[in-house]
Amino acid sequence: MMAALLLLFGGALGWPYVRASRVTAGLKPRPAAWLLEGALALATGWGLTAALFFVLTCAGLKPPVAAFAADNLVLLGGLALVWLRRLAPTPTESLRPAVANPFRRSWLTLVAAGAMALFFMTSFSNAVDANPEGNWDAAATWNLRAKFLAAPGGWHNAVNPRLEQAAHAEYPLLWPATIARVWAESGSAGDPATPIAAGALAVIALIVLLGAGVTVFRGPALGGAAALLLLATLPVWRQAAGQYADLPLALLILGALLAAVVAWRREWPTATLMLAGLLASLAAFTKSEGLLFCLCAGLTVAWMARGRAWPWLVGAAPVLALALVFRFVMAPATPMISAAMLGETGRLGALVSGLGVNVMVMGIFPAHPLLLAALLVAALRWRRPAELPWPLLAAVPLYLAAAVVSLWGSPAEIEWQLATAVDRPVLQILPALYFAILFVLNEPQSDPEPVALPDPPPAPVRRPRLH
Amino acid sequence: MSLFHTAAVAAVGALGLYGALQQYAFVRDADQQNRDPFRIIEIQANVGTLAARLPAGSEVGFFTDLPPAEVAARGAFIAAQYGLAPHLLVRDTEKPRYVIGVFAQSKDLQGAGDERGLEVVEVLSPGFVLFEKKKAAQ
Repeated sequence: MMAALLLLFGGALGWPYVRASRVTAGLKPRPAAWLLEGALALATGWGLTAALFFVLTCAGLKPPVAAFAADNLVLLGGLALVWLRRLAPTPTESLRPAVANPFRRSWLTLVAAGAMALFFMTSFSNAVDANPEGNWDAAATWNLRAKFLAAPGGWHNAVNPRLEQAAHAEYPLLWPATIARVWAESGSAGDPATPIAAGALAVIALIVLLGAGVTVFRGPALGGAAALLLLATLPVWRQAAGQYADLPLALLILGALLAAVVAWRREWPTATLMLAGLLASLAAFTKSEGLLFCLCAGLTVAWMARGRAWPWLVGAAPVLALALVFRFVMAPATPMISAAMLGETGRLGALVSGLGVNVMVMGIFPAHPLLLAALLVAALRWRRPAELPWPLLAAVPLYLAAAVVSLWGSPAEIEWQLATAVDRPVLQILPALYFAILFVLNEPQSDPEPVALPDPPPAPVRRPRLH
Repeated sequence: MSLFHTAAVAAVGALGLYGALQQYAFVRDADQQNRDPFRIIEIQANVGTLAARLPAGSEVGFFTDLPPAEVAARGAFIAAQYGLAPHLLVRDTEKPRYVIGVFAQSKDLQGAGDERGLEVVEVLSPGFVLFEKKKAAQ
């Protein structure tokens, strides 16, 4: 309980930043906008407090002091931002195109997604009961490094080159720092309640962010369908209780994409672009693949916004700098790309084939999420291409391509990659892919209401002829 | 158009619910078959008590009679390292004062220790033994 409260408090600290960005201002329906704001706040608050906690711990503060100081600094920064932006204009226009005949059966997807969510949370509870310490990588990598960060002076061991390879001392530390911050504040290092609660909140925020994000652009029927697609994805069920960093990374990736799309629709407002950049940079400090996404997102925003893209870079700069310093100065040097490996075309074939197999098994036929998405595409059809931010949405396939190339050039053995690594980029990008697919669709529509015909004029009274 | 859209949305909802039921059963079965496969809970409970007794920043050695390529050997190391954190576990039996031995086959624990100049301190958990470097060897 204490863990969940401290995690929610950390998330609440992100709210002023999201509020100041005006990213959800004017969006309709308002309940969806509030949910969107809450999910974005959670991602921002966790990210900022964890990044600052890590910096302060490295600066020599004891973990509990660093954790409370990080919370207070993030709170002060947020309040200052809200005060500075108090006179900034607030957009009022909705981003959902007007629909001639609004769909009257949105409850179909909303009820289905709600019922699926109940099954999902029951399954989460069963998985936690079976393995409260999570899956392999939780103990080998993420929670292990969180334990190091939560101990006085222990951060050195989180990047110690003498750690076993399974601990991945070269991986960024945002997610372990998120867990360690709570452990340090509650004085309960190693208590599995914290990573369990963090995993549950992260996956709930991801479902809410996707569902509410699609709702504000394409209405509640497709918003419910978005949540439904995510809940029809088997790896989400298997990973949610695993205590890995992939779903939190997916949350940050989706948040960065959503904020960038809102910024595009509003002619690139500075504060919204800064939030998009901040979320992308937090992804860069979550996993090495997040750095790839940050690069892809930065390129696509620069392509679309041209000279107005600078706030994205300003928003990304502080945490991106931290991620780069971590990668190239603090973490043990590990070769990322080997030219010799890139010469082996057989590896590429094996990876693409492994990726295909992973996509095939990420759902149970005939309820495979891509099949459900195809059904919606066939029924609702694409919107006109001129209405869509194609370069921004292209960040999704660009990221997947970059991830495959990085796996192809990685010095790791191909068998290991196929068994443990190739499914990760798919899971990380899937929510953003579902958003992109549903964003380019038309909303479902109902038939027009029958128009009541005016009463016919009274028949002229024939007067009898008088003779 | 309305009927077509309603049918498509209803089909997606119904298929999604069907998929959720299937996935629920699939994940439940997988969880029941893989309850703490690497004994992380048990090992952490036992090794964790040792972690609290060691001076801050300790390095503890590790060896096992399991074949190194086996998943069980890697699982034992990971579980022991997780239980010992924030102390560091290293695959070295010469430098560290304390060493954890993991035994799946050997019964002669002291014999395994003698080979490495170690003596048994305590059995932390079945198969998990804490050794200390012999006084003469220190």
